[in-house]
Amino acid sequence: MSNTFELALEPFHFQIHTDIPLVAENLRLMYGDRVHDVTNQVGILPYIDYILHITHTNGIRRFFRPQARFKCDQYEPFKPLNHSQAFAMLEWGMNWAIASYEMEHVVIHSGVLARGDDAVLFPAPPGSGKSTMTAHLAFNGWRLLSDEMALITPLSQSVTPFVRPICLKNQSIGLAKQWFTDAQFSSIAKDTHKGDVIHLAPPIHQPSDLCRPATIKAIVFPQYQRGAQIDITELNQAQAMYQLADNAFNYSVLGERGFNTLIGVVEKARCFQILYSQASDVQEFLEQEVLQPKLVETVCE
Amino acid sequence: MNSTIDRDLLAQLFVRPELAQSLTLAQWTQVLTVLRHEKLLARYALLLEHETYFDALPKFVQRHCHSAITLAERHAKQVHFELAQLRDTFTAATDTWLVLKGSAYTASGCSAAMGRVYNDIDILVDKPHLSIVERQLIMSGWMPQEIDDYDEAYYRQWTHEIPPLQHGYRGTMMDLHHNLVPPVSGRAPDMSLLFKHIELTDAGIPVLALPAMALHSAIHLFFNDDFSASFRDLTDLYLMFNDMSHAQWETAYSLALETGFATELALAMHCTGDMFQISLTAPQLRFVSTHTTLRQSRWICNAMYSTHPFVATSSQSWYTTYAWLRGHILKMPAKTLLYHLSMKAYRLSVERILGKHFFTKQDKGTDRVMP
Repeated sequence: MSNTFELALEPFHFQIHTDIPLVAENLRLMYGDRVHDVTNQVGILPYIDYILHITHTNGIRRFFRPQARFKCDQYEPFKPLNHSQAFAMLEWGMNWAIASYEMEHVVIHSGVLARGDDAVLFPAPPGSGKSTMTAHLAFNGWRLLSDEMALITPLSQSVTPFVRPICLKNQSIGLAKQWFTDAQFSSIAKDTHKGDVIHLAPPIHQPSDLCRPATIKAIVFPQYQRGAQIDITELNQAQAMYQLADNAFNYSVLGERGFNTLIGVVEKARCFQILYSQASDVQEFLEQEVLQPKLVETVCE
Repeated sequence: MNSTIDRDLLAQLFVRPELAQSLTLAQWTQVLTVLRHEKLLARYALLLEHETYFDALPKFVQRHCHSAITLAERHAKQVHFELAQLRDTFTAATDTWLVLKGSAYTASGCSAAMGRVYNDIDILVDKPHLSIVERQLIMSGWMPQEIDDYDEAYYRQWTHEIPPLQHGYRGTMMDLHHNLVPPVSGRAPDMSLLFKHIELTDAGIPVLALPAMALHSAIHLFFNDDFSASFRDLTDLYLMFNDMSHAQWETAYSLALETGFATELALAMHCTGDMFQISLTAPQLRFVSTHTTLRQSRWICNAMYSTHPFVATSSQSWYTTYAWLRGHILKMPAKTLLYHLSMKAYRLSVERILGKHFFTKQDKGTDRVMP
């Protein structure tokens, strides 16, 4: 029995086909009223950007250590994973589709959060505490634009929201469950290549939060270290540029446009490397020293 | 998802791009999906991009068109870069080499370069220099791919190429050939006939002149068992054929006869005419009817359409199987073919029973999963 879902995750629309009950369940938990079950009926979204499949592998493998396969339309970019990791695989698959095909934005592997319409990017490799920081800010008055990817409009400082669950790993799973007792968590995907992984549904305060862009005011390269005192280093533009390019997915494809966009961003934003153990210290620094306290309210088109 | 488009609409988009104006949003969803699958989205996007109606197309269509064009531009840049690097390696090792297929279209700037994307770079060297070129390539960072023992033996014994090479830093794939078709088929042409048609691009890259290039494109498509890119390849042929002068057609005919591939050229002419609904000239019709039968070409033509579920017809798998079998029979003598097919059948049935990825080697690294 296969189910079809439609997901309106502005600025992209997905259609998802799955025969794995765990995926269907987690989709509802993570996306709430943004996901629509359209099994055996006409879809409700006017158009679809990406048609995705997350299904059991065929053959007796289905019963013996069952696996999940991800396909974007007919193409299978990854090897199968244990079926308990199917939902995480779908989330990574959505990231893969955007990083591979969307060239209208400069896409950076980065958390993106905003105070009002002032955005801060947190670009970082796995293990730097980026997602823990993202979760902390998202549940403490900041607006979540993305945990995984900053969609920057070329040759501007504007970043478009792509609001999706926050992906937490290993020790941060326990922490997050203590911190956010009311939040929705997905089932745990055990022993992935990133360790244990859980997804945390994003808090959505206003429907307009889902499509209102923000302006990049600061870039923070976070580095988590247990028990460390907060240590902030302001980076010069060359250092920031180098690190930002290192985290960009489609920078090389966009060539000169990508290069000029990142130059523009680091020229206009303040850039920091922050060693920390308490996410609230980083929040305090950003709110008091970097961003002007102001709130702007506008609605989506 | 019910289909709202068919294979004829898909083909007609390339002849009459303005059909774009009449597509519904539901049709666009499927058109974009199928074209992306067929690696033709950039080509179609380039046909639309400069039309006055482009700005009036749905915003998501414009976005996907722009993205596809950007990606194709990147592919072209990469090919020019790789070829510039390879030129010196090859030139040092042999006087006779040339670039084939997609990367040759891009290098030459012919009309089939439009929106072309690639999985690999195809290069041909004269056989006596094959092993020295292979050694030189390994020295300059091109590594043999990990493939299973059966496939390795398959390449070395029976085919016209060596197992694919991949550049260690850039990840670019290369197929290195020494003939156009497998020698085991008994149909491998005397390559010196083709070497006469080599010309240099402005960047000093050797490619086949247009008539020979189109002929090779036809051979590659119709003397083959792999039709996964047949729709795209047929649009390549359609574009190249459109650009050929009367004299160039004559050259193509005589080269096809000399090399023994008149049937393949005739099939290519018939199928482009049939799929894109264009009428052939009297001399073209004469060549087609002399070198192929209507029944044969009709079967083959049906196998050329996209097999994407949104456009595949119910009988398509029959035609595809027929074309696949025909390709194998052409490429291998009966005894070899029997052995090869039973090995493939054995491996396929194991996958059917034990799961699709039974033979897939596990990734040791982890980078593959997250982009």
